[in-house]
Amino acid sequence: MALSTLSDLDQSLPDASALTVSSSDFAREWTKSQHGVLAFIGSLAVDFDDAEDLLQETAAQAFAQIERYDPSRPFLPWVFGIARYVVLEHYRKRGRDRHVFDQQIIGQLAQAIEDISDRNDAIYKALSHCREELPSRSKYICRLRYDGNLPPQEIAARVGASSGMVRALLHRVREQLRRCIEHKLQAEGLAR
Amino acid sequence: MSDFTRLVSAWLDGDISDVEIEQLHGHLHQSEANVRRFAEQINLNYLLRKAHAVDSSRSLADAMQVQAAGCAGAAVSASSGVVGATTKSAIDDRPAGLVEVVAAATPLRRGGWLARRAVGRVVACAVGVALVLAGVFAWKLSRPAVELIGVVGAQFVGTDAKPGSDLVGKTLELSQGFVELLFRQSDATLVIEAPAQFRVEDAGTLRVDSGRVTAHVRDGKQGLRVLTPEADVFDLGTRFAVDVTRGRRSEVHVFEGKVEAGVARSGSRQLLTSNEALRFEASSQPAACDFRMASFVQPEELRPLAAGFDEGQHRRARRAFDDLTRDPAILAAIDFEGKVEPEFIEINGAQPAQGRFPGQTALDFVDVDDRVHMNWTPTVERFTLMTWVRLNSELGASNYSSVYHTDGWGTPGQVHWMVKGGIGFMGRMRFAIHGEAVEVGKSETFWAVSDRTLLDNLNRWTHLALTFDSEKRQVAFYVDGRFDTSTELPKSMSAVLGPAEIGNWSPQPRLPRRRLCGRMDELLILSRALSEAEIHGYYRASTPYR
Repeated sequence: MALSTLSDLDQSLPDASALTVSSSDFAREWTKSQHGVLAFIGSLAVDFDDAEDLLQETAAQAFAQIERYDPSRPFLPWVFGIARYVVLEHYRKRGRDRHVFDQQIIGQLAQAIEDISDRNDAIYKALSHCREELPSRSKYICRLRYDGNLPPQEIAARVGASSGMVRALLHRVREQLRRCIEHKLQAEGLAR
Repeated sequence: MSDFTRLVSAWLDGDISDVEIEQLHGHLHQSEANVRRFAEQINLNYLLRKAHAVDSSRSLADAMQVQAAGCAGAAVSASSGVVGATTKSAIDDRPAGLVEVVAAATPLRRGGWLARRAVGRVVACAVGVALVLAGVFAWKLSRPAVELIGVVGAQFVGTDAKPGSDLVGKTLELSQGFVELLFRQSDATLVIEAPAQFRVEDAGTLRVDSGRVTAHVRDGKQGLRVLTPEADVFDLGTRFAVDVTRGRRSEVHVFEGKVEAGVARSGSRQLLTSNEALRFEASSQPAACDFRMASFVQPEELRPLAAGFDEGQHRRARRAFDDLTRDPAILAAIDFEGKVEPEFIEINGAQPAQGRFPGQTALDFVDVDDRVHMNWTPTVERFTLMTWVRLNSELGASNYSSVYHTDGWGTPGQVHWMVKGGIGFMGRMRFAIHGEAVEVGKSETFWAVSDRTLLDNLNRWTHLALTFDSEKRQVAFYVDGRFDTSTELPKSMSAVLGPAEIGNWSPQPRLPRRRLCGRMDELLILSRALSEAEIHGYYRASTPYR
């Protein structure tokens, strides 16, 4: 087991075969996968705002290397490999050698996210209801984190609390939302 | 919380060290169940981000509808010309949607085949585009490097200036209101609040001798320089403010990004980042000071302020205030204008600043001891306290922002009214009335807390009201004219309203003072509990926004 850093960038590009994929195939695959790719990039990039730029870069890179994609294999792990490369390159430009996961974990994550993706509309709908049930203080902290893109220490400074308390609250909120979503999916017979 | 859960949370919060990433990596290698749990959390994090982005887009759309209506109004109203820049930045800053992202990325690589299909049409289009570009270029060249793009209730002393004026090389003295400037070189929008004196030295430099300046600099490569008698501030693309009190001091407050600031003419600067503030005084070294955001009007706030001013809200507010001063139950009507203040009030340190309307005065509680003392001793069975405040994003070191506190704490019936920060209160109003001592160390002290957090109301004018009725045994809170919540008193008790401090309170000499972190514009105290309709009516008549 070895963590990936820039030192192994040269090995991080996806292994490819020489089969042809049309641009319409690519567009179809991309449309299906983009939410999962953004979720994955969002988890690798510290800054949410960076994630959308990196998604765009990933789309451009994936399209440029479309000849290297083997259509007999799953699309998402291949794009995740490119996204991982794009994120590492992003950190290299910023002078940071951030550690991200190795190819095995990335492959497993891609599979897990793909498994979730067909329920994502239902999850999103449930999330909308579950967010409404949060206490106002939790809503406010969530807004600062997910809309304001503030790290816990800045949220803490803004609300006059310690950063540890903010981290604990964010964790509790996510747990509360996860349980609430599970409950709603179960009620609709969509739970796994 | 398990180690794995803790690490996942740290990862999602973007707050994880490399060592912890290695530990998380180890957990993921241990079992595929961990990978699935991690994937679910990543997915939830993404959906939360998406949901908030959708909320923001809706708010933006609403704001743009309002702005569109405002633009139509601005076309027929020349008295407040807040134009273009705010709308432009709002559009430019919108988050790119996924569809746009893919659309932007895809044609870059495969667009060439289109060209062979209609060469003639392309040539014709190219000529058209070239003509348009030439026109745009010529228009850009003719625009002022630093333009006055908006005024709200502005009055100048001596030299006048109108929206559209080129300000390079001009010195202006603003006696009331706000002006909005656009520095084209750095794509910077500045709001200057009266009273202020300033000079635009060149396309990238503003000299401020007095006044408050808020800047949003979008092009950090060009930067913007602000010179004051005490400080030299260089911005590299961010949001910040400068507060210059003539002959006393200059302060720099950074809301977002980075700013270099140093002593004037010294050549050395230090770096300030978001939520930091530095004070420069001629007699001492620069020192960190309390970060204040509410002391400054942001460019986005100018449009609703301008609309309110254009519609005559300042006159409506004055009439509403004067009407209440004639109410038989009025105990104190303080507008901080220095004209009708009761004799028993004494202002200690709090700085006069522009009120919620151009040309009117509020008090800014800047230093830790700033306060207004009320040397009076009314005891009442019912009362209403109403005020307009502008609270800072930082609620103060003590986490208490005092609105109205009777001196000390221990006399039965004395009252305290505050906004409290911290994770438990999150900016809610809190009221306390001291009860009778029932035994040593115990009293019947009663506390009430508002439902609504004021954290959504920071850095803008907000109307707060509190009513107390001993006979009905009820305390009620109101925010922006709307009923918030009421709490039942355990028993009837008379309220002692003085002596008291507005905007501060000291629990003990060694504990932090509970200064109001922000500005206060008027305080009304009546010996009756106003109804919900009366409070809502007063709010509607006296809000500065439209």
